[in-house]
Amino acid sequence: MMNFISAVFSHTFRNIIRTWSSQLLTVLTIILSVLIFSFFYLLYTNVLHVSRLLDNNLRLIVYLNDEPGKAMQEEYRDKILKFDSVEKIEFVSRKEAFKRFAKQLKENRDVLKDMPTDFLPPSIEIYPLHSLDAMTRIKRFSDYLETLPGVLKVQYGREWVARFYSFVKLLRIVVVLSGVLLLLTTTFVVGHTIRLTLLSRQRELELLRLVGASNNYIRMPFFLEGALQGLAGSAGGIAALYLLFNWISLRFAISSTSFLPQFTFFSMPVIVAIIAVTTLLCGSGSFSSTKKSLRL
Amino acid sequence: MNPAKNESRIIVDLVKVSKTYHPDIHAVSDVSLSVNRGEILFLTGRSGAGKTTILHLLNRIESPDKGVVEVAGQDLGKLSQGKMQKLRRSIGVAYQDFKLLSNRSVAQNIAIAMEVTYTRPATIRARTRDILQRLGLEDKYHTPTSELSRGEQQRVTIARAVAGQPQLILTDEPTGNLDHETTVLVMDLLNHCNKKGATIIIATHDESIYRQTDHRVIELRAGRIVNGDPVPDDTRRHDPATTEETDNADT
Repeated sequence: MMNFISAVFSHTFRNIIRTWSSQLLTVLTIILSVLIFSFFYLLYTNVLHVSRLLDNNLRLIVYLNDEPGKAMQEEYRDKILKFDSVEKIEFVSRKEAFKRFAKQLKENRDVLKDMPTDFLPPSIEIYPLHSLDAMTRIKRFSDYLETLPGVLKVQYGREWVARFYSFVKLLRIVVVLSGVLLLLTTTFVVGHTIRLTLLSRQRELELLRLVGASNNYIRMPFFLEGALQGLAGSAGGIAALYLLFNWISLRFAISSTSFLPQFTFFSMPVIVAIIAVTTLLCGSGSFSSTKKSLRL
Repeated sequence: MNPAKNESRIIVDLVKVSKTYHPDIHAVSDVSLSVNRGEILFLTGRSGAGKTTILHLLNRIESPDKGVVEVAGQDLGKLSQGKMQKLRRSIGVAYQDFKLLSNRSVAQNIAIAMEVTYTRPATIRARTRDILQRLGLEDKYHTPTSELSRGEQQRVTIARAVAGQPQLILTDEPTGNLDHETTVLVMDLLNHCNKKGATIIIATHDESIYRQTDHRVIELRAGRIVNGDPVPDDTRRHDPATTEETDNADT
């Protein structure tokens, strides 16, 4: 077994050194594909992160005709929870609403001096769950709330939420498409390189068959070669993205104000997953290409 | 005589084998031939007599149109790919087209035959040096085979054929490009392998290497055996154990 492994590794490295120029070209292609995919994926994860921060301030305000009593409040609570689970439900009385309004007016609160303290309508503030799914249901939720008895109006950042989430959806599609690009690149480009290698090594393969080399002995170095290309390409792609990310972060840190959310890079498990999947894809691409070309 | 024992002695068995190439070239016609383990067999005849085809049939590079080819008791026509690969590891071949990798060194070319059997690198190096010394090529260890003369390339091909210590060695015109001195070196190496137990089939038209031999010589003409005994004579069978004892005694 050890001899098999050492033979396979020595074959692989010998071939990589011999065909380094085409190997380099393949690795560069993989780096580019991984960079494109991981860039959009990183953007997507950060946008999701931002959306979670925004969710904390996102709420549905249900204005009511009359101030609900304890029993009515319970009834509203039941009906709201019947539609969807929510983060928090808060009842705001007329007086509480007046207090908040006055606080918001700050030094201009004098304008409220002659106003009755109960001129604002009571309301229910509903904080949806911090999830994209809950966000996409927000319109239906709002429509449902309007049907509840005693409801005057339901208010939320309808347009903004809609735009933000269609952007997230678009980003999701871009991530999927760049993922497909990565898949095609790794399997086709690596497969193609391996096919070229096979063509240039016809004589050697013929000789290997003549001396009784097993299928695994012939195929494994090619699989390993593809996997190593994937490993180098994906690690290179992630490293390039990290440099890009640092450069962007640095520029934002200098030129922007602090209200912008902190962007984060991939966690270690995500990095490992991207590298592992790319390595596996490249390995299997080369393996199937070898299988087809050699008819083993 | 015990028939089972007799069967196990036979390493190569061709039964009524025919091979025709397109459009109508009868390379081998109805040939039956048996070779005992440990034998040296000379296949002689002019070019086109069918010698190379028989060697190709014995390694399943070609398949017969008719008849059965058995090597080490296995019918090559029925052998799976995996089993054939395993069998090929015990057959050393040195064909006329050499099949050398021109961009590799002499040592790397020879090593291929041993690498497929996962021989340890240290053993490969030692064995390669030993064989190259026997063939007078010790100074060519690192030389790319493209820089060798035809005669040297031929010797490297033979070195590769014997390096894996196969039980059957097939050589096609092994002395075709060699002078008398190197012919002796090659024949000495083949005899050495034979003494170690290998069965050797030599296809040649070089009369000098079989003229005074006491090994079996079979002459082919137009794909048929015209001279020589297609069935081995058991008294001439080589017994490695006995020979090694004799060798040691000689030493």
